[in-house]
Amino acid sequence: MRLALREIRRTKLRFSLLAGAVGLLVFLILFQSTLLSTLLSFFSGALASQSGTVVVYSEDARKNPEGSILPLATVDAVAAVPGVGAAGPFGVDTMTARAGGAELDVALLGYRLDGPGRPTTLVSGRLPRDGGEGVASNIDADRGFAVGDTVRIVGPDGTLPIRIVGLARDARFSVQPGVFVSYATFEDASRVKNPDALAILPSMVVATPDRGVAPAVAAARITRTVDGVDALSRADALTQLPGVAAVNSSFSIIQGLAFVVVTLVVGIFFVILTVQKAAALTLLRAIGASSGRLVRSLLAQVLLVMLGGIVVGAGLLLLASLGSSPSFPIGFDVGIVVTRGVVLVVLAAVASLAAIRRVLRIDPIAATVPAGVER
Amino acid sequence: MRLALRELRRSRRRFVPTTGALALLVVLLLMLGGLLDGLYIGSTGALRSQDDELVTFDRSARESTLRSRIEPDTRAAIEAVPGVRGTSGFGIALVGADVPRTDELADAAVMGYEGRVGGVPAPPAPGRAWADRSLEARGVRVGDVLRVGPTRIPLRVIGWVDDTNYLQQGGLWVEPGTWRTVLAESRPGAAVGDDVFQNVWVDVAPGADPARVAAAIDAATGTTRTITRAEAVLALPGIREQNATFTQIIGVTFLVAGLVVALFFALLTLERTPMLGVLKALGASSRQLVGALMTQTVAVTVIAFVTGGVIALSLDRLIPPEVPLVVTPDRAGFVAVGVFVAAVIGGAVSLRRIIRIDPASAIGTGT
Amino acid sequence: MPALVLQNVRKTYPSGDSEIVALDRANLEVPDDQILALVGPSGSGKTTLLSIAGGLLSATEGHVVVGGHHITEYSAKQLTAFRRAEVGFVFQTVNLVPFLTARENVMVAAELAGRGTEKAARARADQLLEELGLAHRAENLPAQLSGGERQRVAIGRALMNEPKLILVDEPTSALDTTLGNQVMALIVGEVKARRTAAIIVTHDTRMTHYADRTVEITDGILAA
Repeated sequence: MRLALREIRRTKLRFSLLAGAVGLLVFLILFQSTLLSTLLSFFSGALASQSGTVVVYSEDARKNPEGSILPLATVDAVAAVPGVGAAGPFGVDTMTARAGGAELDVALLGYRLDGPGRPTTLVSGRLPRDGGEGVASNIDADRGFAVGDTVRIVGPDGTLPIRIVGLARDARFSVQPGVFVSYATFEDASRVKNPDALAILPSMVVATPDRGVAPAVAAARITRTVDGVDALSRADALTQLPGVAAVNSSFSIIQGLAFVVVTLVVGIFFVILTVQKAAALTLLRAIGASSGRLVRSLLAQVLLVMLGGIVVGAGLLLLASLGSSPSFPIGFDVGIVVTRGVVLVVLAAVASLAAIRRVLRIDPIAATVPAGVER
Repeated sequence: MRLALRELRRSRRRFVPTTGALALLVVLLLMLGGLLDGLYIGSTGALRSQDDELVTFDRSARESTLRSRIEPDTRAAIEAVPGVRGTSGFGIALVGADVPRTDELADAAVMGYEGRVGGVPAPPAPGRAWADRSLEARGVRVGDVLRVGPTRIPLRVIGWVDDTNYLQQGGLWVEPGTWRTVLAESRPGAAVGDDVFQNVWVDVAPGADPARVAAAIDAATGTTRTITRAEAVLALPGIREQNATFTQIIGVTFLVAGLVVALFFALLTLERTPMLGVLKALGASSRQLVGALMTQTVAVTVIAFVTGGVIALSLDRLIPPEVPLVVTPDRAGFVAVGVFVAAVIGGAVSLRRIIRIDPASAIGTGT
Repeated sequence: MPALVLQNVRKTYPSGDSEIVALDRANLEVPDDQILALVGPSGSGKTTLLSIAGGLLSATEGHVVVGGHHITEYSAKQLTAFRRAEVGFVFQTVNLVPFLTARENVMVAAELAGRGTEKAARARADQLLEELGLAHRAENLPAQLSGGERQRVAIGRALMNEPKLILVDEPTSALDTTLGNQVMALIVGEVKARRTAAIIVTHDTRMTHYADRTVEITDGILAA
């Protein structure tokens, strides 16, 4: 280990350059992950953070909340399926609202207060207790959705006030501010938006399974038992949201490529380094250092470079998040940093195999050959 | 410089890492750009294809077609505004289309129109539709009867049109009556009466200023908001955020590309310092060595771009059609120029080091 | 015109408060067809003298004239051009360009002067290789040549541009006696045939008899 450190100290430039390049690639990976999860949260955060782990659409909705509509009787039908603990209606609709002195679009999300569908990511305030109260997305607090503000749903003949009593993380939907309200409030708002509507029907039914039953299993049972529905676990519903699946799979390819580039950069650098040090390494072997010792020294350097790069990359991400705009926040998620970091360290260890092979091939007898060999 | 190129050819292994890493970054950039372009093209085709310059929404709909309503009397008022040569009604219903011979539903956007959409012929007879080519990849054939919406309204596909999708849903272009039926049966709460459209596209008379005409229309009706086609495209949900996200990621990737090249060339220079010292001792000027470095940077970049391009195109073939990836020549050109600039700047970082190499270092251990 | 004139040449390096004197008041004249052996122990300043004579190092004091060129006043650019045209080097560690063939290595100086594509240059390189017994190795890369062969390629490279002065640094330190003799004989033969001057730095006393004249140097001072 001491050898490894001493070498790094003596050839600081080389190692700094490498750690810097790795740091940038790490930043790229973290930045992509963060931006992607933010973008996805804008599209579907509210669905992800509501409490129902099973989502039931109408059969021909193609797993699209905006294309789904169910008769109210479906709620009881779903609740009656064995394995389902509780079920409730979940209404999702985009409405025009007046907030913070401006008129904008909001996604209103209605759920039965005593059932599944309530927001689980509350960061301040409380859940709605009766009609006319709502929980908004915390990113939008500054735009007139802070706790205590009143937001008005606007329709052709009148308005409906909703008082914000709480803020939740990841509560946007379709890139619009989301507001969770009671289902009764949702019905009232829908009538304000469209006074000629004949019936206000929920977009989906959300449910929580009985203890011990996996959401996917409950969902399959619901689809089989109840007519005209397509049920999924919440996780599946999220990945299969139209548009989301496409973005997700392409991003996986892109992330994969970035990981490959990091691995190659690290691997090749250490091979080059090992080749350059061949004379010194041969000398060490000749005077008694074991191969194992040299390999451990190499791995120690790889680890140090990767950790350095991860610190640099995370640091850059932190800077980016501090400088990001409030309308498109770049979050600093320690979880993402740690998971990506672990994968990178493992990949780097794999990448260093080429250099390790070279170290193992060194024959100490070569130390006795005089210099004057072609440099 | 011949020596520079000869080194590339003879010491290939030394340059493979840099070229390989750069090629992968090229693939990354082409894929990112392709995804952004694909998402954009697949979301905005229906609007970009319109011939008319302006489009009118109901003001309370806040530039959302699906929520807008334009009544016949409002439309009459629009047509009376000076500078307006004519109007075309337009509406969209998002439905699932039952694809024959499969048990899949394709995402479709049934669009009622009155003509004046580039690339789309005149509205067909009721019950017939022009289909966007993207539906062909989902298994649809000309002559197929697609059953759309919860009540399975039949629409017969009579031909293909290109680049007319709306929010990634396949365009089905029908006459207005058919569209109204589809809308009423799939979204009863959003039904419109006869002669009502969601949007009215406005044909601006030649010589008239579109901005002025738009303002005049809104002033005349008092209930509308008229914007240009380009603005309508940007107002589509998610477009701005997607653009912002991808542009940031692409920018950072270009930066990283330049820096990776800088690193590898710095290492290469370090490795070759003794040889460069010898060349200087033999009479090579710094300018010649710098020229050699630049030659190699350019050569590496070209090879990396071609390799990366081939890999990206191959990946494009392997990716399922649901993933909206479109690699356009414009995008490829943009990536080429960007990578070239990044690589040259990266390679130039080694300049100072090369200039500072002392030819006296060529003489042994110096005694 | 003498190949080399050193007049009161001094080379010092600052070291803390004092200075290290690598070369102290060197005076030397080498006629244009003489082979001079410069002998001295490690650290005696012989490499410094060689470097100054070849325009690789600038003297702290004194005058240096090589083949009529007063290189003491030359700028870095002028020195570069000077080295290309007037001096030939054979370094201690052979230092061939690893990715060039034997012929291309010989032609490097011409290449740098922009004359690499001229038929005359190539013909000359081939002739040199022939004289050095390397005609059959012209297309080989250094990695494919033996130590002695590489040394001979370096000699060819040094002679390519018909310099006024050849500077050779420890040519036999890595070779056995037989090979060492071969190389020295080759150097001497080539240099004499072209009426060029040469300074051969060595601490190998087996080889000094090849030179016309031997000068000793100790602690930076040339023996009278």
